[in-house]
Amino acid sequence: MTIRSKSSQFLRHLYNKTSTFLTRNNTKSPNFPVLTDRAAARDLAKASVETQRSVHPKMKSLIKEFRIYRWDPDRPYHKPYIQSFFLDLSKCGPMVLDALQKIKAEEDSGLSYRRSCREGICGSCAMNIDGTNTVACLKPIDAHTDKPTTIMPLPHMFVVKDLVVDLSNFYQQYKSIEPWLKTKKAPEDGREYRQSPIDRKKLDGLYECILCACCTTSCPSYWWNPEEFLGPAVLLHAYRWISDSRDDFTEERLQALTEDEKRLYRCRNIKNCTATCPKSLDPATAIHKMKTKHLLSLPVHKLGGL
Amino acid sequence: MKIHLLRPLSPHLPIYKPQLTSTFPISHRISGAFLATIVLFSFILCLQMGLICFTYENVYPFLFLFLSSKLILISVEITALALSYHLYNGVLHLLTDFSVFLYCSLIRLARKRLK
Repeated sequence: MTIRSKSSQFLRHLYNKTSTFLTRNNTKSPNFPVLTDRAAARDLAKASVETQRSVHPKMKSLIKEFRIYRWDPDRPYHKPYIQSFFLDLSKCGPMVLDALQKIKAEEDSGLSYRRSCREGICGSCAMNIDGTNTVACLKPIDAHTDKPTTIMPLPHMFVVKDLVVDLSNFYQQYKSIEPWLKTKKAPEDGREYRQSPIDRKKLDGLYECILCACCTTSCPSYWWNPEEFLGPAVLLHAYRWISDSRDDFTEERLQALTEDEKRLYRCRNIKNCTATCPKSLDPATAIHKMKTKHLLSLPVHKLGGL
Repeated sequence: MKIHLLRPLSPHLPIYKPQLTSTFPISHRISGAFLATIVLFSFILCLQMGLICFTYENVYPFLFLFLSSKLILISVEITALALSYHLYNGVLHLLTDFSVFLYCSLIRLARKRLK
């Protein structure tokens, strides 16, 4: 870092300002010496320079209404209510999480929600946006400013504050299926349990679950029986461990899952889970395959299934 | 010392968007319940009167629960809709449940034809 005196800083600033002022309207022939032998890139750069001057004044402020569920645990006898926030979309990022961050930063810092990775891999910011459950960091804001966006917490869950819900029952159900590798013998070469690429391919579509709880809280069967029915996310993970070729306890896992009729068979094929998954996974098919596996001994993977 | 938490339950049915995948099973159940009540009532009525009652045209308002002869055409249409919907959806349900066997038989047929 060079030491810059105040006067040289001022002169540099003045020079920059005058140069941008003088070259502001210069669109005659922008040469891009960097792009001399790249004709397509040079055409693109010329077009973007021409359009950039015209786009900027056309960007009007787009005011969008967000209707957000609020409840304060410090005032528990007040009923939950919906509060409207108005946001300028031209000064905000594209995703719903960016809108929430902007509201929290500028308007109401008491707005509470979970967030972590902002890229759809941690599963923290799961909430109900415009009627469907998704993670807020992967859901673009609907640019139609005549309709408000409604942000609610995950359905049929106890609310801790605003958009934060109590997921302890969900995590406890996940723990109950014992989601770790259980083997009876030591590995063959003493170092790692090996698996062929074909066996590894069976886990595709099952291991990507981020445990955001979007699917489980979208299932009406889970709404009416949250203590007994395990829910599509947990059952997807159960099927992931059942179809893992390195795991030796397949029959025991299946038997533990179907001991009573409520853990697996409360699924009524409503398929809300597949429709709402933000990672485009398919819990309904996994549950169906597990039911088939339980009811018969046919190896389902050979036939594929729907 | 127990602290009463008083947490509210987040809204579920009023706010969740009704999607195609979710309306099929519930309307299957509702049409099934509707058809079951009609069958039950007509069965009870038949026990009282015998099968001759179906030839009398004024028995149908009692069967379809609308005790006015003007609404009879609409209620018959609704019942026909419920019956056909329940039937088609039931067939679809059976097909998806036993899709494994369908694939099995299709694969066997394909193998036989190839050979």
